[in-house]
Amino acid sequence: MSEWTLQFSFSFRNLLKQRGVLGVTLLLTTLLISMLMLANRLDQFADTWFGLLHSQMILLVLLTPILFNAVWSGRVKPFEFKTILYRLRRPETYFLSHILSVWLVLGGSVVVFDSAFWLLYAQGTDPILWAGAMLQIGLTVGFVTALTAFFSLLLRRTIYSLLPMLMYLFVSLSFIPNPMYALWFSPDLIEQAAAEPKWIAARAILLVWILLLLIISAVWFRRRVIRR
Amino acid sequence: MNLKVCAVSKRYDSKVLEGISFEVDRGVVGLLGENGAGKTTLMEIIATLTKPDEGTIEYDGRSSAENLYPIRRQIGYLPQKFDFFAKISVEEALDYICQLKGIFSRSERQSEIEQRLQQVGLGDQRKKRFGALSGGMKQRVGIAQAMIGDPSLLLVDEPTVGLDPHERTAFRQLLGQLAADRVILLSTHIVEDIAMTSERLLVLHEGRLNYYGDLSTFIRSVEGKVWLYRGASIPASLSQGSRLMISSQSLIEGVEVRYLAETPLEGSIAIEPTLEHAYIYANRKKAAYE
Repeated sequence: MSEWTLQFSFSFRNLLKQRGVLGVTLLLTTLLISMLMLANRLDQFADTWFGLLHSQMILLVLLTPILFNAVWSGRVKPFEFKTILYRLRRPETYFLSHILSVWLVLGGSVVVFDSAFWLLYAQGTDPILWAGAMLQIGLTVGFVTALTAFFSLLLRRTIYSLLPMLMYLFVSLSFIPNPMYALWFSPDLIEQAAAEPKWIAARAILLVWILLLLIISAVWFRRRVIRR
Repeated sequence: MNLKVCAVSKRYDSKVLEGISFEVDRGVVGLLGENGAGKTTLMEIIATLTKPDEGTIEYDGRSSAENLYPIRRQIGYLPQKFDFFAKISVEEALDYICQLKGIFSRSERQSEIEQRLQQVGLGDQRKKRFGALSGGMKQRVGIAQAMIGDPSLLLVDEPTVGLDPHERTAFRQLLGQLAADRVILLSTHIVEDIAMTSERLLVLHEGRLNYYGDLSTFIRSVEGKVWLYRGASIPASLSQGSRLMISSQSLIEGVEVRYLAETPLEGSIAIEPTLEHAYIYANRKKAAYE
């Protein structure tokens, strides 16, 4: 078994053990939000769909640092250093596994829930809306998680990353209409542009930022824990 | 394993270790020293967690610079104040450590976990979350994880802190059993732990090696220097010169004082020295030289 597989399976298991914070996050971002949207009885399904996506993304930007904090506090605890990282040839796998497991669990849960929601209520709506939303969820949750991890190293406390994330979200909603740089968008913009192939392609640039953030975080984490 | 430590020095803000050398190939070596003497730093250097500024360490003739991970596989390390993820169960924690140590076969892992849990007496606590364990139980999980993979060098840093007297006795017995075919380095400031487990002793004082050798020679070094005085009160001359009071006890008819001295007070009788007497004497002597 490779270090990657071992670390990822352990991080995944550790994340699933955080039942309280994980349960609240998933409940808020899926069931409660969807019930709220359905209760509003909007005329068009597309409006309900965009309302759901918009609320989910804003909530996820705020809840991801809280969930990430449950598995990684921002500092290497002595036992992590002396019992776990001590045995790893590539200690950065430990940190990256936390990021990937949060990304997978949060993104995956919302994707599965929203797909079920689509199947139940879409009734002939253009499937491009579904595909665009799935891409948005996957990329945005990944970007938010990678950014949270980066700020946790920078600020040495994961929970402190909530503040820069809030600021970035506010600036994005108000001033950054560009899909390549914004954390999330104003509701009007999302409705106009979310299904445009050009806009979706530009949003895919987030993958590059995610990759860059992961590489920088991995190198930074390694430098921090390597024996001196 | 043959462990050879040659002239190891380490400096952080100030000198922490200076020119430490010793060699051992079997049995329990007790590492004794006051708080801040450099015990944990020495353990971390031997565990390959920290690099020495000067000096070398050889593990069966191999250096950690070229063979870091194969050497780490042979080391079991119980750090001071062992901790783990609160929501992970004892069994899951040990299973993870097994895999970190390269034991991947499910059946091997199961038998390893079973063996270690029985050794530390936690067989019936395997499903309990680590965070729900008492301090003593957490320490026993730490001991179990250090023994996984049957390491040929076992480093245990303050292992009996938080253990009750019964657990402490059981742990000493366990160390005795394990010492038959490996090197165990036991760092502690509890003299009794070393007196009951170790054949050899390494005494650190302010980062320097004060003594390395067998326990009996160390204790014999204070023969004729430990005295018992009984009188109406503690004599003023006891605090003068090179005399050092170890303990005093009030009696109905006065006081009973044990002290260390080259020349006794009048009326004192020589008593059998213990490891604690020798340790106090050795570290005081070193301090007096400086």
